[in-house]
Amino acid sequence: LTDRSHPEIKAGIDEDAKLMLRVKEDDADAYQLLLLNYQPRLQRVLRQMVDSESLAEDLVQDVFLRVWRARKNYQPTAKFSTWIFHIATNVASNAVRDRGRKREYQAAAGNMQSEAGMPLEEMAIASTGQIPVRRLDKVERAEMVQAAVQALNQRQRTALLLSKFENLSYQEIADAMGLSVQAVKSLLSRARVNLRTLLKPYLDEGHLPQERSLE
Amino acid sequence: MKSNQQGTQWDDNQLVAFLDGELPSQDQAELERSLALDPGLRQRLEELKSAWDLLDELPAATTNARLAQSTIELVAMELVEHRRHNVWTTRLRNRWWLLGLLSLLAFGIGAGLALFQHQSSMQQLVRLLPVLANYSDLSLIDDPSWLEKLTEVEGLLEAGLPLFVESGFPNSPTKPAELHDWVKGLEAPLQIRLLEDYQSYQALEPSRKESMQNVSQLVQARSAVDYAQVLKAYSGLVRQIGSTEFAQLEAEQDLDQRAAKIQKVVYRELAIGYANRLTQEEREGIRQWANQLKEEHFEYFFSIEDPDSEIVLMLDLPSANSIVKPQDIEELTNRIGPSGRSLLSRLDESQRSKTLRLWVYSSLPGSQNRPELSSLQMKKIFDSLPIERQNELIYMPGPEVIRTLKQIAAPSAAP
Repeated sequence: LTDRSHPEIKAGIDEDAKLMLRVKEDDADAYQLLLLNYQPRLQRVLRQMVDSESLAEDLVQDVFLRVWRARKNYQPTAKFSTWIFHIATNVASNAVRDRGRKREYQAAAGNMQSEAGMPLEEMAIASTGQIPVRRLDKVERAEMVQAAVQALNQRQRTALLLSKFENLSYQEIADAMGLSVQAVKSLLSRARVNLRTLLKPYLDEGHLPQERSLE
Repeated sequence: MKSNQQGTQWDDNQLVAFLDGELPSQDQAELERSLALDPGLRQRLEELKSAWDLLDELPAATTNARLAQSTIELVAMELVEHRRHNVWTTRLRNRWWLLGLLSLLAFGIGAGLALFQHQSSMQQLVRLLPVLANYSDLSLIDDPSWLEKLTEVEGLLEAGLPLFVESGFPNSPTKPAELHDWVKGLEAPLQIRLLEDYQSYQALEPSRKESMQNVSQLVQARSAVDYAQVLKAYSGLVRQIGSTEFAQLEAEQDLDQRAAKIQKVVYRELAIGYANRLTQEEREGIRQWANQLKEEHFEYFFSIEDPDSEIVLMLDLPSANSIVKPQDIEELTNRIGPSGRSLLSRLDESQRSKTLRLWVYSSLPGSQNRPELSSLQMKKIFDSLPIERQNELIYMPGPEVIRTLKQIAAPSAAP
């Protein structure tokens, strides 16, 4: 389909929004193109948001089902990526909330399991440098960064990931997360300062802050 | 936070906004001035930036073909359900009194319809799989008549089949029920390739899709001619000759003319390939021929450091400039067996000369001891010389021309 067949498409609408307008008319090829383009990107962000590869996969599928179901009401008022990440952040928030409830139940039943990743306080203590250190290889570096990202609270983490990996502006992140621009600015600032604190030992000396916590 | 000599305060929010390019332009200029004056501020900024850069260590985004496939299946199932719902709500509209009576029947028929539609789309995919699994090979054939014409090209199987690369797809399923498991069983790169080929196929013009289907059916048909082998051989040949030559061949619209050109390519490739299949007797014959040449021109070769390379070079020169004369070439050809001679007889003069040169090169160990100066390189050196120097060289004997050009190419290595 060309732009002519979609009079509502105006100059300046991104290519993905044009694809979505084709999806609106039940174009399966356009849907598949969007799927192939966004699936890895969503997977990467959702993986960090929910800290689980398999859950992230389920959520990616959920996002794309919602995109399909919402196609008839789609309006290209914003960048497509902003719209799809808005869906993704909602889906991820629900999943994290559900998981939280489940854990509360498990804790009440005396079946509390330790969470993966390093709590912020623990990372901060480790950053004092009192704990033995050693050089990091690439895998360990990735694990360390992963642990630092997981130590951020969920909203900081989401804003950080959308800014870093999707290059969304403050306004677009605000739209995707349903927040004000000022709130996003504050979230990103705190996220980056926390990240700097957590990763400082490595930045200073290339050392692992605390071996045990990354195992 | 007081951070420079002017007393300007910059908090982390502002530093982060600066790094994100979201600071107002006036503040940005002011911050840049502060950074120039305040090492502490620069360090704070650098630490924020470095921590940000470390996020690149997180796993990269990769396509998950299995996930993409199962998502599409989920949507397809939802679509089938949706259609089923629409069909029955439309038909029963305004016939509410029938609803109670027919509800049970409708459910049964609706389920049957959904199953039929699902099966139908699966069957369509299964029918398409032979095309997708051989997509790259089939895309080389623009029409079934071209595949039929290729069966007339002599030596195509011999030239192309050894060069054919299997697609890597296992035998595709013949029943829709096997489709899902078959796709799931594929390695991830194959799943991605299948999806990409499916997209490429969908983007084709309807007429091209149809002709590709027809070619695929011809390849699968049981007939006296093994079209599958012809397709494989052609695919192997095309990959050997490269995209530029293939584009030139494909541009020829007349199939007879195109086949004649392919025939030449096949003979050429067979002749090139024969360099690896020369028998011991043939190689020995070539070495004896070279020794004979060296004995005949003892005075010339006596001063040559690497006579075998020199002979190979001589084969490139026109006979007027070379000590290798037409009778020497004939003598060389006689030392090749009937198969090789038969191949040579099918080549044009230029190809024949190049082929002989390759066979001699592959048989004289001495010729491979050092990088040789090819005729193309010699021509480039020659063309780069002033016209007066070129005129001098034109009237020199061939060996002298070669020696001079070598000297120009590598003055330090020259005697």
